Amino acid sequence: MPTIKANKVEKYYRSNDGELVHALKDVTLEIKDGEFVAIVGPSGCGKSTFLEIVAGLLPLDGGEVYLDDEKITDTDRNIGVVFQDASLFPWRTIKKNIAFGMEIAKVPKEEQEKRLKHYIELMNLRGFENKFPSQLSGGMKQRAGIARTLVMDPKVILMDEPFSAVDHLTRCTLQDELLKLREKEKKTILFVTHDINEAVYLADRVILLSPRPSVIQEEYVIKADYPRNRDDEYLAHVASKIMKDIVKGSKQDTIEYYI
Amino acid sequence: MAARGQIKKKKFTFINALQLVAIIVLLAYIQYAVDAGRISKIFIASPKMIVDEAIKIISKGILWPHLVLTLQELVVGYLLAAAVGVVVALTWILFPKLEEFMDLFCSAIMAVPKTAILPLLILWFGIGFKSKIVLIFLFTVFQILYNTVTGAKQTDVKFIKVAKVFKANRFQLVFDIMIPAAIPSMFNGLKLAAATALTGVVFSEMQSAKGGLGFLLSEAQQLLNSARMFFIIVLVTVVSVLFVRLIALIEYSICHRWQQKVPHI
Ligand SMILES: Nc1ncnc2c1ncn2[C@@H]1O[C@H](COP(=O)(O)OP(=O)(O)OP(=O)(O)O)[C@@H](O)[C@H]1O
Ligand SMILES: [Mg+2]
Repeated sequence: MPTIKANKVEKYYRSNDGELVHALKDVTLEIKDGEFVAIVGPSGCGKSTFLEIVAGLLPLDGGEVYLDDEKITDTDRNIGVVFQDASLFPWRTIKKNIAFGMEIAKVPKEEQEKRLKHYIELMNLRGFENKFPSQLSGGMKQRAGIARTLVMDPKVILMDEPFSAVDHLTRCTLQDELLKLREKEKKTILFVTHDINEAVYLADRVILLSPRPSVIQEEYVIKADYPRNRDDEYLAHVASKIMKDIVKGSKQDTIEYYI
Repeated sequence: MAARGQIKKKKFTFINALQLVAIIVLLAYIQYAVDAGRISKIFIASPKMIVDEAIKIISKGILWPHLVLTLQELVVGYLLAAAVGVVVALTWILFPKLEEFMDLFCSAIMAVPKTAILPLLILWFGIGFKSKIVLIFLFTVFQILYNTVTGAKQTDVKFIKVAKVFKANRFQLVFDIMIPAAIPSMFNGLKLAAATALTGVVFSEMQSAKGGLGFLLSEAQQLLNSARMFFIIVLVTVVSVLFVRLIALIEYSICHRWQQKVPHI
């Protein structure tokens, strides 16, 4: 049974000059329980838009999205979101940031402390509990952002370019940590990225969105066992195929323009 | 900014040396010009006359009651404005309909030049303490109110998204996110208000009062005591600067741990 089911999702934006922008067109996608799906696509195609619709943050203009057969109309405690730059509150310490969701949900204090201890340990944040976000590196901030989502134990985790703001080495570490975490906590993950190598290294399945109005242009099932090797030839092959398809998709777009 | 300057050691540069020389030259020239009778003592007092006058009114105990009165008016009026400004801002953030209703009236009162209603305030509250407090209140409350509300409105949308994802209700959104996000601009309002508050006090004391630095100033004018006038002007300036610094210091002690260090430009 799929955990997330998007059925013919349509989304329009009205730009500042009043023009109607067709962001998503007819996006249909099923994500199975425990699956890791990555979404790639050219900049501005609507990846974040799709993710925010699944999160219940944005209303849609057509179609519907389900979580375990229940229609998503609002945000849901079973769907956690990790944002691009971690979006930590600057006025809260790391520990208080991680505890934010539990405070909102009025989780009992002892339970909070227990979970905090566990996830601070798990995300290698020991010793940073009482620091403020401005005192942390980008990678550390993102670890805290992930911990903030994990403490609420959501079934599904949505991540919008979570590692795009950190350096290459940190990114590789965070990717491996994410895979281990997924193994341990058995989460369903929808992961938006513009880094194709990252997508094929992490995901069971990669979805390629076309330029606007976005449809699902291609789907790639990555048939490789974990742990994967970063310079696996098969992965490199799939990545280059995706790259070619992106170029092809964009070309069609420009050709349509000129005709 | 002022508070940050205190933690950073300042270097004494060549420019600073030039500035110091310029000030000394200017003061020395005034001293000479007044002593030599080139400028009338009625218009400009020499530095030495100002210092002598300062020593005189301090040692004779003339200054003290007036200074205390002015400070009392300043502190009471300002604290009242700060409390009301912040509390009203909170209710507006919590209940936007209330803002929609009240905004028209607040903007209208804010638009009235406060100095123009002083005669009315004196009629209602007399020439003593009360009318001064009301005037300072009106001078400053709107800066505090509108700065705080604007700060809350400018809360980063990404923080609001995080709150929604964790299913915060309206009260949690306001108290856990919008209010902390508004603190820096609230302090901007408080600092602006601190700077204008003293203007309000001194002005109203000059118009009609039984005491205070403004009263002393207009009295000195009538006596053509330019040395005393200069001294009071300097004193008022110092009080004003120190007051703003005090607010900046409070802000620093609350916010410095989480605010990003902005490099000095
Ligand atoms: N609030 C909005 N109002 C108007 N247009 C918007 C709004 N948000 C997004 N858009 C437009 O919708 C399109 C899709 O935006 P979205 O942010 O989903 O793209 P994206 O694929 O995430 O891009 P990127 O790779 O740059 O993050 C873009 O053309 C964008 O300009
Ligand atoms: Mg995006």
